[in-house]
Amino acid sequence: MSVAGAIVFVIDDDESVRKGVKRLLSSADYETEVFGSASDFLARAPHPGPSCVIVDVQMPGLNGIALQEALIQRRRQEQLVFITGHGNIPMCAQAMKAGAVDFLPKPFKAGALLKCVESALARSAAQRRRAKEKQVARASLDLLTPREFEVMQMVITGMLNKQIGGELGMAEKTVKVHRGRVMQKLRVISVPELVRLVERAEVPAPVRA
Amino acid sequence: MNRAILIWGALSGGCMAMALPHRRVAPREHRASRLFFLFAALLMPVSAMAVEKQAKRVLIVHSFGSVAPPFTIHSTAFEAELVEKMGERVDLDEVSLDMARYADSTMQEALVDYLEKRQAHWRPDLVVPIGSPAGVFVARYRDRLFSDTPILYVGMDGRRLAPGALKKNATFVGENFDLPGFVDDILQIAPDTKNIAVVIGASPVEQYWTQAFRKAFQPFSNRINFIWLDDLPFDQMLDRVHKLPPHSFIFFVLLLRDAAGVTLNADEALQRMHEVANAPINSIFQHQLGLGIVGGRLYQAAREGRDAAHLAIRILRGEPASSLPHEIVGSLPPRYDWRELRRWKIDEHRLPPGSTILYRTPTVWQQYRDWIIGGASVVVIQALLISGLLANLIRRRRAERSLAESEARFRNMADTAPVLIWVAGSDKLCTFLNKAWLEFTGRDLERELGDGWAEAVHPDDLQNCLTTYEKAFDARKPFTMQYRLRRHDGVYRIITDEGVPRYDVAGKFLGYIGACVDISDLVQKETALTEMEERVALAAEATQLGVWELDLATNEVWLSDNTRDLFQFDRGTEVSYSDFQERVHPEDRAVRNAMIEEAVESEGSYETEFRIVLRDGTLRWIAARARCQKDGSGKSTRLLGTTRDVTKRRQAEELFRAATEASPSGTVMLDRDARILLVNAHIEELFGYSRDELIGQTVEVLLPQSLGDQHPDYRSNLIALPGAGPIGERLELFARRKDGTDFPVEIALSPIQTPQGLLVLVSVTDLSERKAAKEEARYRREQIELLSRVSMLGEMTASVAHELNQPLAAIMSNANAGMRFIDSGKFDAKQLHEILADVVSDGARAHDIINRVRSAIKKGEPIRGKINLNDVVRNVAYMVQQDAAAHSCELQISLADDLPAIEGDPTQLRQVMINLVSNAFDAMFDASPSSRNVEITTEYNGNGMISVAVRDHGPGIPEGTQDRLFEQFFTTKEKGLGMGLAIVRSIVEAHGGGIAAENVKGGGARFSFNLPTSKEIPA
Repeated sequence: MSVAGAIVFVIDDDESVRKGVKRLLSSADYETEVFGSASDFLARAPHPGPSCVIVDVQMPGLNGIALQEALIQRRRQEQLVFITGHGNIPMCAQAMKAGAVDFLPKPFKAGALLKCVESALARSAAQRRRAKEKQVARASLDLLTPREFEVMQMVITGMLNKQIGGELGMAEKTVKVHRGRVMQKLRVISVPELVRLVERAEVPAPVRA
Repeated sequence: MNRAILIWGALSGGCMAMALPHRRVAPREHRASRLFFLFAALLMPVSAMAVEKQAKRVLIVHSFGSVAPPFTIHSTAFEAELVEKMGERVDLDEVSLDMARYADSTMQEALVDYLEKRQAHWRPDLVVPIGSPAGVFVARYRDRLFSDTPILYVGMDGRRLAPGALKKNATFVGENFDLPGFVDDILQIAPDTKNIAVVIGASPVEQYWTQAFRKAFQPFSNRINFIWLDDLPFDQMLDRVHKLPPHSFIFFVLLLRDAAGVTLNADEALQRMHEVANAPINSIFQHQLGLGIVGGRLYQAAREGRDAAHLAIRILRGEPASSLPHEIVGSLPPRYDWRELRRWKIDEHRLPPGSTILYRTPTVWQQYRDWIIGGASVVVIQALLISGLLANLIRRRRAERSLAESEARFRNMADTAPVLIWVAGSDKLCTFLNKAWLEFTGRDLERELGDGWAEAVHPDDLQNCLTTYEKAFDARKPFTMQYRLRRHDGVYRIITDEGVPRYDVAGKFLGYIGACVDISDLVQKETALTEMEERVALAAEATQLGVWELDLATNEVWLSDNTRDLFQFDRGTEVSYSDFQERVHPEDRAVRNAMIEEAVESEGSYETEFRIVLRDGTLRWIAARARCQKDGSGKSTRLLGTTRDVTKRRQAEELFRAATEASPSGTVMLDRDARILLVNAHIEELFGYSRDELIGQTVEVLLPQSLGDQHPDYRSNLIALPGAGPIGERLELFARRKDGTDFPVEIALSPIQTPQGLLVLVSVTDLSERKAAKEEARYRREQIELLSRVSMLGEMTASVAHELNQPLAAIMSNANAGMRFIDSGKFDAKQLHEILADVVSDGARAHDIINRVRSAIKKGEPIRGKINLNDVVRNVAYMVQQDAAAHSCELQISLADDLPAIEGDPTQLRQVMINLVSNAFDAMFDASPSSRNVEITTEYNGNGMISVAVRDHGPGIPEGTQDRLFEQFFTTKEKGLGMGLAIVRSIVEAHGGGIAAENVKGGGARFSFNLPTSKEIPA
């Protein structure tokens, strides 16, 4: 179940585990790269396509948890699947809070690992898609004048033209014009459509006075 | 009805015999048979019918009723052994011919009719006639009664059976008595036997044997007079054996019915005979040894019974009786009753080689203590001899006195006197000799007068005799001389001749008058006495024996030098009896005086031991023997005694007794016949008997019955071959208390060779307590070990799981990959081979890990060795590194250089470290990651102690818990067992060290323990 352009990275200090996991992934047609330590992985350039990192928690040097922290600091968004010989709950909780896909105790079932990889890659792909949509939506929003932006922000909260006019100190008619332009520039024909676009752009909600 | 009885019998176990009428079985209960019956009883509700159907029927035909030894010795042994060894229930029935009472043929016919009718109801699987009358009866009526039934003839001489009796489905266990051998046995021990009284009854079987013995004894008739008592009623027999001439022996054959028709119990008759007989007795069977016979080659009635039971079982299990060999059991090697040997003064050297002597009597407190002291018995014998000799000494003194009186008597009694009297004139010639003289010499007065008398004087003595006479005569002085004078029978007798001058009223010398006394006997005695005196002196000297004499009329005391030394009276000073008395210890005076009084009253003797107090206050033990001697008139009463210093023996005895008493285990001393000579207080306590109840008993009294039965043989094995047998080994067995309960003991046997023969010292240790204590200790140790292993496992889980899960993860991944390749069809053989090879190597790796873990926490005795604590710390640091990572903790180790080695168990010490380090990790769960440090340090103080400290940066030890930290089941952790630190402490203490915990100023806790270096470790 491979995803086009996806790579699964395996980081484990134990060579036989690396080999076994790599084989398992190959059998499921995933493209795989293996690393003996976390720092080796960090040294590699980030993969542009969907990716999943299977990483052992306990490793000499930089361990799995430390790698997760390092990636977050670098604003990289690789999907991490932790594997561990002997984990504990606090460790697991920390990893999951920080966004890990899953936390698998060794020896794991092949099905479980592959499922994790699949969902990690799906998440990775979706992440990438969302990032792209946001970019597009933001680019559209950038076409709006500040006034139009202000009006748009009020429109998506469900305010009437008259209320918006009162709020912004302009005539109801003027509001109507701005509103028409917004719809036209953003190529949407209904308010719900407008709301979704703004959501995609992940614009922070206006701060009310 | 019958069935109900059977079931009842089964339920009552060993009591079954009593449930059936006219049954009399097995006095011996045996655990195995009891178990069997118990087992049978459990099965009974469902299988009663089947069991009843299968039970084999055995008919025992007694010759003389059920209490008629020796035949019932056979039958009792037979029945007991059969019931015990059969392994299944046996239905036993018995009939008796009672031949002693009902010997005539009409009675037998009636019995045959009766048996014939019984056959319809109860057909036996085996018929066992016991004794020859029963054998003859069964053989005779075989065809009518038991034509198809196998027959086992037991307890008879094979010659009694008709030649064809054994041909058809029958076999035989019995004897072929060596009849002349019984006489040989008597002559062996009493070679000067001239008469043998043969005791035998008058019943038909006894008549048969009388004939057989008469014939067999014929060859001895030229040297031995056989006195046949078979025609006498029993009371007359008793009378006869009471008055046998010297050099007689009694041979007791059998006594079932006497000539008066009275039925007897042979063994009881034997015992009664023993009470009155004036000669030693021998008999035929082994069981009679102890009933009063001396012994010899004895036949084994019980063994015949047992062996027969073994054949019976084979027959009952289907082997044809005719196929079984006939067994002649034969006699035992000679056995003798020590008491009888002693009673009849039969020298043990006379006994044939290989003889066994039983019943050595335990007069033996003395016996044993004598050997302890060594040689004391010799002294006792000498003391006896010496007091006898003393009596002779006294008699001699009296004899001398009577000699002195003879002259006075002579003057008054002239002619009638029993002395030889002569009268001589002034011419020295003999003028008169009294009747006594003439009778003495057997010569006429005429030949004796003048110088004639001198012809009878021994030529060697004549010169001296005449010289003495003439010298005295010329000097007119009394004389006394001794010479040998020929008696009428030609024998020279020693004469003492005293002569005095005689004068008339006016004082004119008339000649001499003299009296002679035959003093040969006295002289002889005197010679003997002189020798005896010398011997007494020697013996007294040699044995440090003091001799004394007390005249009770005058209270005059005479003490020998030895006695004086003993009592510290200076030689040559006067000693009064009160001086003597004063030396006696005040506490012992009353007892001693009472003994003296009794001895005086009964004119007997006494023997006692008492203490004396010497002038300087030291105590001395004295053994004294004395005899009271009265002269006929009752005028003088003397005590003659000996004294001997037995202080050392007493002290040794006290020591021995104290040692025995102080011995931590029960101690029993046995003689060769396993009779108890001595026990200590532990034994009394262990077994619930008092000493008096035990001493003199055989050791069987202390054993369970089952063991006691086999014990005589077992015992003789134990004692017979010291060194070869189990002597010296320790044995575990069960012992029985007075209340009948059994308990496990360990016994150790130590043989002691003594002048009285072989004694065995048995030390008995009660295992029930030791076992319980051992059990308890073992249980505790195991609990601690288990818990410590469990806790160590818990602590190690992180490492172990991590290590083990690595290869497992690889294996599962590889295997799954392989399956997927195969499922998808995209695979090549080379790839699959690689995958499988990896699986194999990962599997091997997992195995290695498990082995390593197992050996690290392996169960077993602690292994002590020299170890370096730094190594332990490094090792543990490695082991916990995964755990440290999981806890985001860092380990900092600082180790002392040149740490001396300690002695200890590395595994246990690793446990200590793992526990402490894990606790440190746990303690810092809430601490900030940057401060999560655990510091381990080792230090040597240069003074024999090494300390190891583990310091964390957690919250420290909570207030008020410091004291309880190391207690078991105390924990501050939510899920702790409270075992870890308790175990840690126990391990550290077991290594001779100590452990402490404290809060550190900069935060956190420090646990530190110290251990002695290998030199300082306590042994």
